Amino acid sequence: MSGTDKDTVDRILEATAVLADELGASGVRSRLVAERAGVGHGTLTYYFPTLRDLYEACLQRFYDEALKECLEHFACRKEGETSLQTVEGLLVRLYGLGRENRSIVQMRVYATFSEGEIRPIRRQNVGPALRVFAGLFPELSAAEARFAAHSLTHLLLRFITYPEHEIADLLGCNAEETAPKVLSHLRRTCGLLLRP
Amino acid sequence: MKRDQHRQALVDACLELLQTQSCEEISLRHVASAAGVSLGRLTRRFPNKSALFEACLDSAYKKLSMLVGEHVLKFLQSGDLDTALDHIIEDGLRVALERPDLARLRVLTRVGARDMTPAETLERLRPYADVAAMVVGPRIGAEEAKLSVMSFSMVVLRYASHSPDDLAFICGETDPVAQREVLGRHLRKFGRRILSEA
Repeated sequence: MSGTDKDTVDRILEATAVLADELGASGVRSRLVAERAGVGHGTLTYYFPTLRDLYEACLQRFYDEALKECLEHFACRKEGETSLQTVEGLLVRLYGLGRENRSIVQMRVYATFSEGEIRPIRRQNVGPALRVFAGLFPELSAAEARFAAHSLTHLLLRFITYPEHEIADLLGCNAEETAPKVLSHLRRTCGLLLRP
Repeated sequence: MKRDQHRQALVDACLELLQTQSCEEISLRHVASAAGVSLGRLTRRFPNKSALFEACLDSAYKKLSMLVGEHVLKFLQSGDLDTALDHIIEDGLRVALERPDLARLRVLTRVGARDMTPAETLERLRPYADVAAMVVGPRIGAEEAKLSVMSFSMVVLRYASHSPDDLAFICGETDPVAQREVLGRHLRKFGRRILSEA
């Protein structure tokens, strides 16, 4: 992809994310995206023939960023930090990143079920992060470590996707109180899952 | 009475069809003819596919509620929380894993209504969350008990809707029987700890 191509694609993905924020993922239309990105509709459909391609590209960009954060987090472990503390720190970081990109995370649910199963994660990209993760918990079997990582990721994404008022309603608290409660629940879950 | 019979026949037919076809493939006409009910009657009970699928889901939740209810009752009589939890986790896994089609369906209905919130509403979980707050709340705190029910059900349903290919990627086992075994071990550990350990 040449420099200008990359620039155009970035503008399109940025516009998609902004529109999803404003209108919800179900409100994203290709004409609106083209307009917002300042490109012709033909240009948009040249790069992304269908809305589904657009969703997938947005998600992939988010996942790539999240994976980069994971590897960075693992690489910059503080001295004397336990494996569990490292992973808890990572959870907090990813929860923040996910909430900043909430409309994209929600897109995953919407896209999957309106467009059929989509596979935005390039599995080979996940490998390095998973290997470091498993290496942090040598007492767990490889399968168990991978299940734990998968379950934690899934919970993270789901808790980000649910509207705060619904969680608040279930718990019987205010919407603003849910984020810290969810985070402390995720940390507890993390500790319980990663113990052999 | 006849109304109820038709309703039940339609739900049963749809549950049967879901075992072999995806929810996109199933049409209302198809369900009506499988149930031996006219299409007009069907649409009077269920105006669209979402409504019919919701009713199918209800039947699975009803089954689970009965099982959970029995275990909670036994717990109230015996005071043996750990045994009750083991049974509840076991039954929850069975109900979810035996019908992966329903686990997948669960996410569809609300999105189908162009609603961006994921999956079914959390309302469906409320009875289970309330029971957990009462039963394990004293151990782990009421709010934590509710969040744990949410987490456990999200994870179980997610895995239930995974294909063997997905599971192979996660656990490195290609044999479906071995996959189920490793998955079962993970989910039992998950459920047991998250619902009972402070």
